[in-house]
Amino acid sequence: MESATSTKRTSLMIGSVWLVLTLVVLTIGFRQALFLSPTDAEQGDVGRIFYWHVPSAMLGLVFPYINFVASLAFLYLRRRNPLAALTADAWAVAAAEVSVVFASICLVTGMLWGRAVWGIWWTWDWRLTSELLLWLLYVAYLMTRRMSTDGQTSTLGAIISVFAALDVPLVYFSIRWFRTQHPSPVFGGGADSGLDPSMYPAFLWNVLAWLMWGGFILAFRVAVERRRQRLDQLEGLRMLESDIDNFKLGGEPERGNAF
Amino acid sequence: MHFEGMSAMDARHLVLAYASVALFQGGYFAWVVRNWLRLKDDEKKAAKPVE
Repeated sequence: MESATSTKRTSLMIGSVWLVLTLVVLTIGFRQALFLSPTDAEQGDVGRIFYWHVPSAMLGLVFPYINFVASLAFLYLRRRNPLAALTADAWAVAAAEVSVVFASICLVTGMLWGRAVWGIWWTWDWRLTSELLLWLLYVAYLMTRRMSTDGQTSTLGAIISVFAALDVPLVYFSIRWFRTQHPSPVFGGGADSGLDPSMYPAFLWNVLAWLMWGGFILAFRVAVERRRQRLDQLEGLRMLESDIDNFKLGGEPERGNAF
Repeated sequence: MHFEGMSAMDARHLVLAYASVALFQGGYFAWVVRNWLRLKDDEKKAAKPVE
């Protein structure tokens, strides 16, 4: 009991320090992006959206793989080691939510940027459409988990997540395979690609800041989900005990949906 | 950065982009904190012995 309290206290302390560091790095990134990086010669100040749009787009393709790996782990462990499977499931749901947050930011900032630079909010270009599909897949995953009541919610979610992960390479390669409205890749996109050296500090600070934030919010959400799972288990156990007591007294067992 | 007033589309869209980032990330963080606090209360209630 004392060891559990001490672990809780240590986790809380690490989380608090991590959050403070993240806020410091976010502030540096914000200052770099808005005040220190040079204004884009062609786009003007709206080009600064790059510093939020690109890190969010990058992380929106990283977190789905955490969800994918956790879902595969869940499917593998659910009969072999149910307790470890629950931990994998907590990581899967947390990663799916964080993916939706980053993909939403990528889509919204992209539309705001597109309207100012291209003159349109949206076009059915390969990159935009595959990103929207990715967002819809993870929203569907979360809605399925929330609304399914048949007791196989996590298994169903894990199967959807395997299909959702297939869209990630399509999003990444879409601007390499199909040249449509979205600009060509900034990194590794050929001779004309790459950033101006003056943009690197703002870009790298923002990538680091959002990576730290993503890691923090993911770990926090996993902790909340694990707490919810423990409460569900406790409630299930209480119902089972109450059924056994009723049975001993010769009454009818209580019907519940805890399992 | 030199804003030339919020009437310019690039300034307006830049502010909206930043606001949307803050709204999505801040909103999600607030929702997670709310769940954490609610579950903490539920855990305390569950720890009490049933009479």
